[in-house]
Amino acid sequence: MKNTNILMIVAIVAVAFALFNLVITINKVGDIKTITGYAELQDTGVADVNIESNLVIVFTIDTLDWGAGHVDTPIYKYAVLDTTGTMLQGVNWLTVSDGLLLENQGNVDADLYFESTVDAHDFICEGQIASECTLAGGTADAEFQWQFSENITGSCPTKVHEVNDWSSWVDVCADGDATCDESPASAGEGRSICSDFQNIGTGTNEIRLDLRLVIPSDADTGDKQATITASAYAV
Amino acid sequence: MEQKKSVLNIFLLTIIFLFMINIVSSLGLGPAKKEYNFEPGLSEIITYKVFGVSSTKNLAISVKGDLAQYVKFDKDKLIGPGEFAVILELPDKIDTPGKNKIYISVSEEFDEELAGTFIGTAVKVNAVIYINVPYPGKYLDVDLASHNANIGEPVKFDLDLISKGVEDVTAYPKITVISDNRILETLVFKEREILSQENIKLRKFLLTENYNPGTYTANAIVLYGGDKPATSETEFKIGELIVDIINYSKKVVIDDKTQAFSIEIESGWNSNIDDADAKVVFLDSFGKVVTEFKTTSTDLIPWQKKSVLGYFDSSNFTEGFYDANITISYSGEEQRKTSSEIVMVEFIKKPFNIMLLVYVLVGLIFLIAIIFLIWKFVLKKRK
Repeated sequence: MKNTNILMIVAIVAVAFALFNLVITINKVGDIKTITGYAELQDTGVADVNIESNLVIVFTIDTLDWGAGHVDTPIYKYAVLDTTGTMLQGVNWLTVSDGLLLENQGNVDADLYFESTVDAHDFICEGQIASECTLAGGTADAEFQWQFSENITGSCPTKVHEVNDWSSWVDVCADGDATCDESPASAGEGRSICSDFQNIGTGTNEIRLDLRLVIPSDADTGDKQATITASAYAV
Repeated sequence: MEQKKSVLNIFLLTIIFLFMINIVSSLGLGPAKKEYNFEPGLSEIITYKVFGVSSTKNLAISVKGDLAQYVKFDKDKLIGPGEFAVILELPDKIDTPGKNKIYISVSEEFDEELAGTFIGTAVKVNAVIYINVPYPGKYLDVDLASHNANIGEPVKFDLDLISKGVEDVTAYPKITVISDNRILETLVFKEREILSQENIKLRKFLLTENYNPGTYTANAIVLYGGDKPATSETEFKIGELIVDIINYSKKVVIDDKTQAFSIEIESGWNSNIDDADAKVVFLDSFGKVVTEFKTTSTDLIPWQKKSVLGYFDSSNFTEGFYDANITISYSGEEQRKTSSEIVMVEFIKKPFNIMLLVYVLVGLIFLIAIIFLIWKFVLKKRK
């Protein structure tokens, strides 16, 4: 088979997959609509429509991946990556300009908490003792931080920790760290961020979460994974 | 060579292919809120629906909160969208009066087998069940809500009364309308018997013919036999068809270029206003017109603040203060209205650009250096 034919087949498969993806997306949106109440026309009688409350939380951007890279040694001792387009002192890592994006697509406001499965050390220096994963000659260890913002102004009228988590890079709240756990029920669900994440009816219902990594040159190579969990409580 | 090119193309297409994968993840749960008044031995079955999630996603169902021990599920796991039942069986007595909260949680489970380097996300949604446990004795909660109106239209007051004590109460509600710490009017409701845990909603209208436009306070006071009356306060506005100037460009730079002049306006009307714009006339100290121009036009929703912009040539002005007669025109209630205000605007000389001076100096130094080098070069040649 000619190479051009192979290319054509791959292109057709790609287009078919895109179409399939579109159908799935439309289907998902359809699922959400069925819950919000829909009054059918009737000839006579009393219309009694009870619109049930629902809580729908969506990460419309739910994965961040800078790809594979390394610190530009020996010139630099560490690299800085963030989701605002920063990639400093690294080699081969991609530039990422979009943070995680959370939408409240339900019809009730939500009280929001955020937590990471790992802290900076466990994410970047897993399996290493502190002295093995530092910025050589420096004092700081690896960093894994977050910062929140309203992607649409008015999405969170009551910000919690406004002077910290909403205004500057702050260390993520890691699972099991009782010092940053502020969830209302007994189970730890991380740091309180927004006590009235606005619902879809307001049209202002998007919060952005940016992340920042400082990677020491002596961090072990290999896969690095972290999961950020958003816990939403109906209010 | 052609083989290599094809492999590269396939690689690029594969990358595009991967980026087309839908990255939207979501989790929905309903009903998000349920509320019950406590009754000894109360038993309820609530069906929850999980939706908006991938059909292969593993979900964990759990309960937490004040009364979690009185909740059971028909299942504790789901794969993708589906339904589950919550069986609520309350005891004969609860010792924590007030609003007790039970959270029904559905969370995405992490996929431990996924490899690679990335930061992923998971969502946990928590629906709430409120259990209102009565307080000892008499306890009344009151909530007053009001709505804005235009002058001449009635203002609606909604009064929500909930008896949260174990004893029934007799309520005597009234609403006072207050402006500048002065009671203007009192609306009195009929005496009402409210049973323990009962919720009643009352409504009254305030006629506004004799009121001036402005912001007022309404205070609900309900005597019911408790230690002190139950109260709730709200603010409401009575509007008139007017657009006020609340800010404007107070300083304008004298320049050859066209200058922008901004006027911030505010609607004092509880309905939409169309085509609001401003005409600005600058007058000199003798009252002679120096220049005049119109701003952009805008629509205003009730009570909205917005800016309109106009542009004019400031080169005819000299330093100092000028009067500006600003006339706002707007449409509402099928009529076109205008309102005018004379304000003072200061015209100032263009501030000295320090950066320009720095650039000129650097340029001069550079020029001198080049001349010096050429001179040295010529001297050397002559020798």
